[in-house]
Amino acid sequence: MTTPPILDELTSKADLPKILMLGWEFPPVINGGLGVACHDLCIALSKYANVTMIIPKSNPDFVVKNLNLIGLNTIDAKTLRNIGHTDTYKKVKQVHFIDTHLNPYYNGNASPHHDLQNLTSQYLKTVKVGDETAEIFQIDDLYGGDIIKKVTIFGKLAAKLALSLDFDVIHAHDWMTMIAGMEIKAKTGKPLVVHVHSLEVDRGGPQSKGWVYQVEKKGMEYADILMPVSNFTGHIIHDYYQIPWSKIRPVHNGIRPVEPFKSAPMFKENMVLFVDRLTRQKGPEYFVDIAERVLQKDQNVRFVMAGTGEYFNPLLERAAQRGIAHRFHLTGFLNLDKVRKLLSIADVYIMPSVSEPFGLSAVEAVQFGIPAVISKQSGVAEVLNGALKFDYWDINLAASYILNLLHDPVLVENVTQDAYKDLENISWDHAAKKVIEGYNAFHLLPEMV
Amino acid sequence: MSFIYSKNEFRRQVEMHKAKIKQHFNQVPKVFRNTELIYNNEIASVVEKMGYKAILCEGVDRYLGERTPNFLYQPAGTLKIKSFLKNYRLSDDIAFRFSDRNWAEWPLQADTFASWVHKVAGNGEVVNLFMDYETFGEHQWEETGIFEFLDHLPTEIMKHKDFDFKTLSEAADMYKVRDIYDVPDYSSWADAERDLSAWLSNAMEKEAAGRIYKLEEKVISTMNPDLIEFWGKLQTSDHFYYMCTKFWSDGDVHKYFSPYDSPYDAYIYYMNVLADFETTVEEALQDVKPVKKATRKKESTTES
Repeated sequence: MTTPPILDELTSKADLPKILMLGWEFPPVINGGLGVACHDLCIALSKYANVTMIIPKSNPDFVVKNLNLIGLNTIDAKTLRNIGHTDTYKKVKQVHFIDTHLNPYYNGNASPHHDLQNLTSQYLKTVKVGDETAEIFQIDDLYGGDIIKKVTIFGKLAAKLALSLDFDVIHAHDWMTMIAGMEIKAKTGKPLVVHVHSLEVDRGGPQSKGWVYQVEKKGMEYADILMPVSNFTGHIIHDYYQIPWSKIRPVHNGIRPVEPFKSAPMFKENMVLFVDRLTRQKGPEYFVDIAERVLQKDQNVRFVMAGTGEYFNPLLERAAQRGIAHRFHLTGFLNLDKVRKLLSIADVYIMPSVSEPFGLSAVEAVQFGIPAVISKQSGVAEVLNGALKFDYWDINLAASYILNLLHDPVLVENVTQDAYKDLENISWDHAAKKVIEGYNAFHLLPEMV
Repeated sequence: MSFIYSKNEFRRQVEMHKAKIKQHFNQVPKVFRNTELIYNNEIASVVEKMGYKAILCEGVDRYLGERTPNFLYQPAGTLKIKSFLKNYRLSDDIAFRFSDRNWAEWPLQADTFASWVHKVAGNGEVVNLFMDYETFGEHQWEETGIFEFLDHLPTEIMKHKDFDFKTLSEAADMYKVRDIYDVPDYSSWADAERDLSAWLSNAMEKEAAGRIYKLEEKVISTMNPDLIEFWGKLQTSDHFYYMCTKFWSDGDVHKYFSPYDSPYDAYIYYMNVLADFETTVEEALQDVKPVKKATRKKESTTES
């Protein structure tokens, strides 16, 4: 696909398309890959567009160059109420902090972000929007049934705010911002693009039909274009949400470059690494099964799982039942530095995801020169040629891949070299160009003179 | 591919093939064509010494320069063997582009193609169209009209009085060489590079090929025809073709023909088979060598 001339010809920032982004997580407040992906995509897009991003909660100290970042927590409810149904721009004042923080992915009993609660509790504020009262913003209620209300309120606030902003396209990310996207489209008539990073069908399985699924389905039906992060997710959108392919345009994620390093090994045995949330979608129990198969052939291997989630305890038990607990380590939640430390000593990376829209963690492993064994049920399998791929249920094949990698340096060399070449094509700049191409292909932008 | 690793094995295989042709067709071949058109000066020279009067090769631009492939050439460093150079433009029109709907010449008719061939008149003596048998019915499926094209092609070619068809031996006897064709490095007809990179460019291919050829002495000394046959089959160039990791250029072509999910699978399966074969060969050698030992054992059992 060729880059449309608009990208090269436009030099003046004023001529660039104006994008109104709707995000949920955003650095420094992040829980998973979504926040990082939104941030990096925005930065890359700011080269080709004027981007305004509305998020529930921003940190006033966190300023992003070339990005107009608006946290709803920084806007006075009164100001919002006073925004009329006109296009006149009104100065947005930073007065109150409204916290709509929730964690859409994490279902466990313990939060990996205890400190976050303490950090933000002082900003709690009750607001009134129309008839709605805002007890729903209680921070103690992170994972309660109020998620629906939080998302709805975010939609109303964002839609109000949007009336004071100038933009060509609405670009929403995942279900948390879809209601906001729909409201804004309904009020302004501007085209709606929905970027799909993760779906309820990925998280909850194919039988998902709950409220989140319904929001996703409605939002995607109402959108003008869908940009899933992979063809794999595009297929899910088509197969499980009955959305026609004609409005699905996959945009693969990019990756932030890192300086990889190697560290001295922690164990005398080889190490196979898993880094992800311990939840159904990531297939952690397959990792235990695979480990068992590997250990039947080679005792000289340790298996490390970094991450936490509701499968933590069941995984411990499963490993113990199989009699491999002495070779199996669950680290719990690790910060980025510690994950990188593990990457610097791992021999093989494994991602047995059951349904993985993209899978940035596999790309991070590749950046560290680790051969990756990844499930075919992932978006990253589409962009990583240099990886060994298996169907997530095929534990025998995965085990044989691991064994071959542990015993054949030639295979390791070949896989990692190929993967390095793949990295050249995995960038946020590519992704940003694809996004703009998508807008153009669907004529979402006003005609440029 | 054997020539690259072992000239003895190369000769053994060529002799086998010669015997097969004699057996089935009662003919003794006079012209040599190597696997995948793999070629260089040295192959031409060895083949000449084996008694062949001509050899087929790719007409590679980087070696031909401004010259046309439509004459016979003398391979550098040989005495009288002649080389037939593939006219890759005309060959690929049939082999690759025939069914390409984005090609300006699609759909290609026999008379059009014949008119291109006829343009050689006055500046050439042979037009060498070399392609796989797979071209007809596999690369180009029946629905593309490839067989109708073939039906009409001879008549269309013969419409020009200067053109007819000859066997390679007839052509080699009839025409003189016009120049030296100097190919110091290996050429072939595969991939965009037309070199050995379709089979021997990455670490896996080199490792696998290196290991199989390293077994030569041991396999031959087993004197076991089954093992030697098996060893020969493991040398088939396709095994290495499937391991090719040119994902970014000719990868789709390799993938189309590969029975494996990925080049890594091709390598892993091959190496498993090879490891097993190495064990079998070792065991066979133990059985072969100490013939006396075995007899002695027998004697000792009888004694006790």
